Amino acid sequence: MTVVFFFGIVAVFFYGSIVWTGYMSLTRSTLMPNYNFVGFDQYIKLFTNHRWLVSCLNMVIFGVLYIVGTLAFGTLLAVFADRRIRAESLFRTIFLYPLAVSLIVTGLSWRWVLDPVNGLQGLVRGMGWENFTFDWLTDPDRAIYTLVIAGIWHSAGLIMVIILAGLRGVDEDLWKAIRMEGIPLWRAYLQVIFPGMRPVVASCVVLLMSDVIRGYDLVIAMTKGGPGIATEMPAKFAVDYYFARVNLGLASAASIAMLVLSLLLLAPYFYSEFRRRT
Amino acid sequence: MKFRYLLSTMTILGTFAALSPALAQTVDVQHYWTSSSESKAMNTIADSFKERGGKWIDSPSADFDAALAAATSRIAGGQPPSAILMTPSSALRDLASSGQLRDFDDLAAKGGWQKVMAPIVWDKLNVDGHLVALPVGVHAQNWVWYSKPVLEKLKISEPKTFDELFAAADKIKASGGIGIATGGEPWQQVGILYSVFLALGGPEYWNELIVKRSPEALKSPVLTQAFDIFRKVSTYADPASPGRSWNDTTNLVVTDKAGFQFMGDWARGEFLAAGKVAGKDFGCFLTPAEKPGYAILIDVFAFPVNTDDDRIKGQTLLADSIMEPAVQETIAEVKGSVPSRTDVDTSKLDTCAQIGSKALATPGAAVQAAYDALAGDLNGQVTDLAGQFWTDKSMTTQAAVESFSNILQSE
Repeated sequence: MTVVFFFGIVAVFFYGSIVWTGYMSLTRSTLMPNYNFVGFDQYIKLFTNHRWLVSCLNMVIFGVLYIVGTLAFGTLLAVFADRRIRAESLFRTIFLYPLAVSLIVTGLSWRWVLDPVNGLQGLVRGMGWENFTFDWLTDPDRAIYTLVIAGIWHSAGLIMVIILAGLRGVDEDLWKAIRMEGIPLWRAYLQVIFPGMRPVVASCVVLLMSDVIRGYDLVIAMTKGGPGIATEMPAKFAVDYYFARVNLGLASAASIAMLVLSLLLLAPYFYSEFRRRT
Repeated sequence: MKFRYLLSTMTILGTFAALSPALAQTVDVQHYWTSSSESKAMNTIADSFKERGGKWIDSPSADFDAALAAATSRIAGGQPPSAILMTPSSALRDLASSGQLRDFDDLAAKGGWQKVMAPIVWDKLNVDGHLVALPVGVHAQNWVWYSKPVLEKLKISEPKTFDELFAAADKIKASGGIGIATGGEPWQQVGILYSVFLALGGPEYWNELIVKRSPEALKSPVLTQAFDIFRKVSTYADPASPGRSWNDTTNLVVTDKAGFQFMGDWARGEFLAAGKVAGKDFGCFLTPAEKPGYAILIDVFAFPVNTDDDRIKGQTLLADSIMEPAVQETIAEVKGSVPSRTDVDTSKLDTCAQIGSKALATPGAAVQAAYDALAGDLNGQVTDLAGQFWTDKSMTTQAAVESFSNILQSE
């Protein structure tokens, strides 16, 4: 009974909303829903909209750098922590701490740090290096990388903890064998330990990917999509068109496009998982 | 067991509901006036409403978009607020034409409201021949604000043309200040672009271009000139400009760190809040033009259809409070707008507000600001374009004019 009730709620509020959004994307709804079907007009409008295309490109750039960077950094930290260092739990807490900070606070802090006048650049110049320049935040071509930096800072700790848990799950006998064979440590990790941790890494990638696709708060706090439209993201596009620009139809089309995009990105993962099971 | 809890809870709640006294004339007001000058203005309305015996429920949101989003969700969910603070944008037209708004034709006829409003204001408040919103005050976009001390120190007089404005800005820049203070958000940037369109083309051209979106207007050389001037303004941006809010930018002029700022007259509230006096500490002029226009943005209240008798009476009472001349005068005084009623005494308002009231009363000068005039999300798309052109110096004027034409012709 409870199970049916639970799935009923999920079906109505989750899949029902998706279906409704899909339907809205095929109408010319503005502020209020309008149920007259107009076909794929909104999608044509969407994919000829310059800002949408910039947003999608930004998501790819941000996504690749953020996922690779966070994984690399988090894994490195996990490996160090795995060497039974002193005060491990202290370091683990320190590195996990950014995750407890909301993305809005993360974005604001990094905006202050990277602000060319009041932040790092101003500080270094004030100490005498007059030619020091680090104005990526206000440079339309580089602002997207500042989002990557803040994002990695925020999530690397989480990845460290997950990978560390995976490393701790490695069989002691495997380590004994590695030691007996005299394999250097870096090769042991790269060729023996990590290949056995594929499911853990895959979970990390999926977690990070969901961060990328719903990436909204970090952008709002750090750049508001600027300078110009240089750091716009698809989720911000949808929210702006839902509310500020009262175009329910186009915003719904953007949401559905994001859903399709994320399914496409997740497809290889599901495919490999299913293939292994059967 | 569970059902018994539910039942007893419901009984208790029901008793409370029955015991609570019949509320008289309630309004639930969805608004976004939260800054100090804005909340003073809202309190003026609330106080006048309470004096008339009404009960005021305040539902503030952080900003304009959030207030509108909350209001539409509440309407869609069947719990509409009694009044929404908004502007006569396409959202207002959408709400009205889907039958969600109460009309005030009867009250307007009784109070003779049409006669006391400028025709352009009256037209904006009417959708399909019904009065669906009541005005609180009239703001305008195309203002330039300047610091008197900065100009006096360098012996610059108030510029009358764009050339003089740029020459003055260069002088200020050479003396170590910021010539033209510009904020880094696209809506501020597009505001400058619109002001230049209006200044170069005049009000008639503006109506052709923005209101009617006629293909001939899009071929005019004014567009190219305007984008060139817009780019020129962008070259005065200081390193801290990207992402800066409008009021932080105004503050640079308030504290005499910058010479000029292009900004709507809500900036006046910031000068006043800092204790500055118009004509003495700061000056103002409409963007230099041969035929000056006045691009107005009206703050209005819209009243969603309510079924509860108590709430309907509350709406009527609120309508009377808003249209009260004394209330309109106080709002203009604290918020920097111009009263929407033409019969309000403006002699007490400062020199800048006087310029504004005069422009509003000049036949043919007042035009609808693009935010309200452009249909659907066109204004949003132009905003994106302006932000892109401002930051991407490799984008040519030609390309910008072309995108602009495409956007305006896309609906």
